[in-house]
Amino acid sequence: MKRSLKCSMLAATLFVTTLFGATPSAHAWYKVKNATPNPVSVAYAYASTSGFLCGYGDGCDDITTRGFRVKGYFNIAPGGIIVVNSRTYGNAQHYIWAIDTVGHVWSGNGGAFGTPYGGPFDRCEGNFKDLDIPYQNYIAIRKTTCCGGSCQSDATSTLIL
Amino acid sequence: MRSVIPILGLFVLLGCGGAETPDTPAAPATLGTADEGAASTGAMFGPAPASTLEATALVTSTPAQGETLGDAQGQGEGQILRGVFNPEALRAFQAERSKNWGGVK
Repeated sequence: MKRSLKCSMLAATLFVTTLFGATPSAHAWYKVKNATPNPVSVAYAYASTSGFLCGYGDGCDDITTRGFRVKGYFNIAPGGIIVVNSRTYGNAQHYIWAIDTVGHVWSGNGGAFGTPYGGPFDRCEGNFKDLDIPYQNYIAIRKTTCCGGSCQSDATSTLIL
Repeated sequence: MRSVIPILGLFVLLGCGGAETPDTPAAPATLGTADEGAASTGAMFGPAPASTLEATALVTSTPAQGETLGDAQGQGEGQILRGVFNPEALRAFQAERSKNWGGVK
């Protein structure tokens, strides 16, 4: 009977932990590594919606048109690596834009996000009041969100020349 | 053991197989670039991005030695990102910085 009870509790714990996936774990992150000889400034946009048994609130869920949170700058020294998001990687969409001190740019066609140059900044995309800030084309790292126990927990992007 | 089976059953029923939710919320629109057709249908905001900053990073799927493997879900974006030299972008970046955009929310 005791064994059965223990078993049930363990399974229930695993069940809840796996389903919700909202609690940061030791292996949950999205990192950016600077594998160049120059300092790099990284701007990062992500979106995760807190829903039933899935994801987490990114603080921009009330922006109905584009609920992305955009943050910067993560300044990374040559050879350095930095955690830009410590939640489960698969639970969110991820986009980055970066520039180094010499003139190399990492941009793409993932989408345009308002990116204030002065930094640091932390804003929700979709606010009409922010239209006067510069927009940059970000690289799409992940375009979908994932729910459930088998979502990818972590990932690292490496910037090279 | 019997107690575990219903829980696992519920687990399966609720679809904990790592279901993907594409483009939720809507992915951002690309603003006025040549690749607009490939962009999603998100609303358009703000001015078109400066053309000087449209250099496209080369994206490969080959991880560097010792790197964590990247997104293995076949979305076409790798984790090794190559920068493109664009001195005009740097000039614009530094010039705009002097305008003190800091603190914008």
